[in-house]
Formats: sequence, structure tokens, C-alpha cells
Amino acid sequence: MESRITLQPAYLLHRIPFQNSSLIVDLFTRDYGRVRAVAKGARGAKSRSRALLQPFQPLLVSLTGRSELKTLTGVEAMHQSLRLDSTRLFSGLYVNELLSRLLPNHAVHEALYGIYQDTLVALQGDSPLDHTLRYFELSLLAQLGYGISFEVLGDPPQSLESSSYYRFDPKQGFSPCSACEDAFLGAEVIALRDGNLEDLSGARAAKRLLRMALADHLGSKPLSSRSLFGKPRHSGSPQ
Amino acid sequence: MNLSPLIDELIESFRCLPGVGPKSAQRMALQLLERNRPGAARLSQALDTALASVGHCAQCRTLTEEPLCRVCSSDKRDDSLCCVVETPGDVYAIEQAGSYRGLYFVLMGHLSPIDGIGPDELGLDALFSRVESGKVKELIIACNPTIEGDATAYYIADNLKGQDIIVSRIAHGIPVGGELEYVDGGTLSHALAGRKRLAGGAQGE
Repeated sequence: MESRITLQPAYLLHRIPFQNSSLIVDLFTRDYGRVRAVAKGARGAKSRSRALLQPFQPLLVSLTGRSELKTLTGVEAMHQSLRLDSTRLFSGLYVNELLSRLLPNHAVHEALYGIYQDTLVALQGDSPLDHTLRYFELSLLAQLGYGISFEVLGDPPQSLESSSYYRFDPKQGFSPCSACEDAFLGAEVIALRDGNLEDLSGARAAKRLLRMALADHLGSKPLSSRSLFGKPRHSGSPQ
Repeated sequence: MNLSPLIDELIESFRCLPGVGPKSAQRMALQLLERNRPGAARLSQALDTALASVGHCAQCRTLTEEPLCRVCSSDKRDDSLCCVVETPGDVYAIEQAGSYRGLYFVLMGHLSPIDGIGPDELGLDALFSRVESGKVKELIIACNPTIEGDATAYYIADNLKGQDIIVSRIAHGIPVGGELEYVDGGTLSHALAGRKRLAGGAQGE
């Protein structure tokens, strides 16, 4: 990695207060992947970058430094910040939490950067939330090299049958089984593979399957952004 | 250089204050020991008693040495208004501004899932049960205008949907005496979106 990077497209994933008036920022850059940098004085009263160093704001960042931790020397807005409301904001935070948990530092993920950007744009619009999130989860796994193989285990692997039931093991893949609570219907798995999530039970199965696949890589610590989606405490609130 | 372990310890202790580096810590320690011993005794006693007796208000959770803070126990405050803020410092800021006469609820942070702070860690249940107790008619959310503050505001508002209570959020806009030219785009677009009608239209404010 070069010691000087100028005007690199990036999104901020996370920021941590550092010393009196500085921040440590976790950036997802287009050409250099995830990079950590110190933003000196960014929390100060006169800081001009304070408003920009927020998640979901398309940025152009300039960085210097040879070590793992860079210094942020400049930040500009590339476009207007994406505006996410309510559940869509929680979904955005979920996507950021997934990335910050799974994305390794300094590995180039240009395709994933594009997918992340498309996901945020889709979250800002009125596309179905489930589709957007499942597509992101599926692509994230694939881009990180943990892609789900949509074939039935065996030698040679068989293709999925829509009327059969399968058990999913995140480490191995799909194996045939009898119909039970944990099993996935072939048609639902095929629908996820082909990106058809219109049908409600298929969407639910896709969510369960991807949760299993992600859990394998996330370790034992749960994702706290999921708690934001919990059922409202009070009855009578439609959601 | 290790001249005196006691002085070193004092210098090191001052460094827990925000913005105090080794040099300022040394100046503070030497100032107190050389020139202002009564001041030092007062500081040490004030620290001791504050640490021992200051806790959280049972109702609004701000810092206080009494079971209920002065604002919550005052009968001059409007108890149908409740302002939700992130920190006790925010309560001081609003009190010093002097235009608010309602009560407070201090969250002691904001929702930040990436740091592992969800609704349970923040203790939002205490806020919801206070709302359920019925006196509050309007909840004014005064979280910081950051993504985390937004998430906190939306979460609280979503959970109070369908309740007989107004949930509002303080406006984001141009600072008094500011110049539009130098205001960042985000603030400016918020300010435009939350503009106020001055005249015209069927029903004026």
C-alpha cells in the first residue's frame, strides 16, 4: 500500500473517540479495502470534518502513513449523505456492523465496495428491505470467499430438487434429509439462489439460512443491531 | 527521573482529566503543592465527598447526590414535558440556555450497535415505563445529530407509536450568527427540510 493516498472514495464504517479531540475512523475505501486512520482534531469545536465523518456519507478521503494506522489528512463529501429513516437506518447499521465484523483490514474488495454502495442506495429508496439485506448478505459471503454452494453434497454434487428437503451445514453445505423443522425445502433454497424472494415463506427460509451461514463466521458474540429490529414493546403499533 | 513517588503519583493522577498531558499535569501538581495548599485540601475534600455521595437521580438518571435531582423534585417545572438527552452535560447545556421548563431523561449514551450498545444496554425500558406512568404528554428527543443519535430517536419513536403521547425531535439547523456559505451541506439540507412558515398559506402558525 502506498504511503500517500489522495481523494479515495470511501465510506465510514465506525468511529471511536480518541484522545481529547480526535477520532479513530474505520473506512471502507474503494481501492484499498478497509483502512483505519486517525482523524486529528475531528471532534474539536472548530472541526469542519465532524459533520462529514458520519456513516452513510459518500466521502473522498486523503490518507498518509506507512504503518497499519494511517493519518487522515483530508476529507470531502463526494455526494450528499444518504438519508435513511427508521427501520432502513437500523438496516444500514446492521450492514455496517456485518462489514466491520467480517471485513479484514487492507484486503482489496472493489466489487464489495460497489455492492455496499448499491445496498445503501437501495435502502434509501423503497425497494423491499428483505431482498436488499439478503442480497447483501449473500454477496458479502461470496466476496469474502465463504460463498454458499447451492449443490447437494455428494460425489459428484447433485443439483437441488425443488420438492425435496435439505439440511444445511454452514461448513459443508446441503445434504438431503426428511421434512422436519430444521430442514429447508429445495424450492426455497433455489429461490434464494436465483434471487426470488417474493414469497413470504421463501423469504423467511432465506433469512434463517443466511443467519446460519453468517453465524459460522461471526463467532459467539451476537450482532447487536439485530436487537433494534425487535418487536415493538407496545401492542397496537403496526410494523 | 524519579524524585518523589508521591509527587509522581499525583502528576499521574491529574492525567486522567481530559486534555491534560504530562506537562500540564506536572504544572498542576506543583502549583498545588508549592503555592496553594488550602486549594489542594479543598479539591481533595470536594473530590472525596462528591465521589462518595453523587449518584444517579431515580427519575431522570442525571448525576445528583439526592435521591431525586433538583429539576425532578421542583414544583415549578412542567411535568408533562420530558426532554431525552444523551448525557448529564446536555442537561447543563439546556438548563444554561434557560428556555426549557420541563423535565429530563438522561440516556447516558446512545444506541450504537457496532459498539455493542443496544436498547437493553442503554436501559430504554426505564424511559418507556416512565412514559407509561402517564404524566408525560410530550417527549422531546434531544439526541445529538449523529447517525447514532438518529437511530436512538427512531427507536424511541417507533416503540411509542400508538401511544397517546407526542414524540418530537429538536430541530437541526444553522447556528445563530452563522453564515450559510460556511455551513456544511448536511446541516443546510436539514435546515431546509425543517423550514418554518412565516406567512401565507391557509393556516398560519
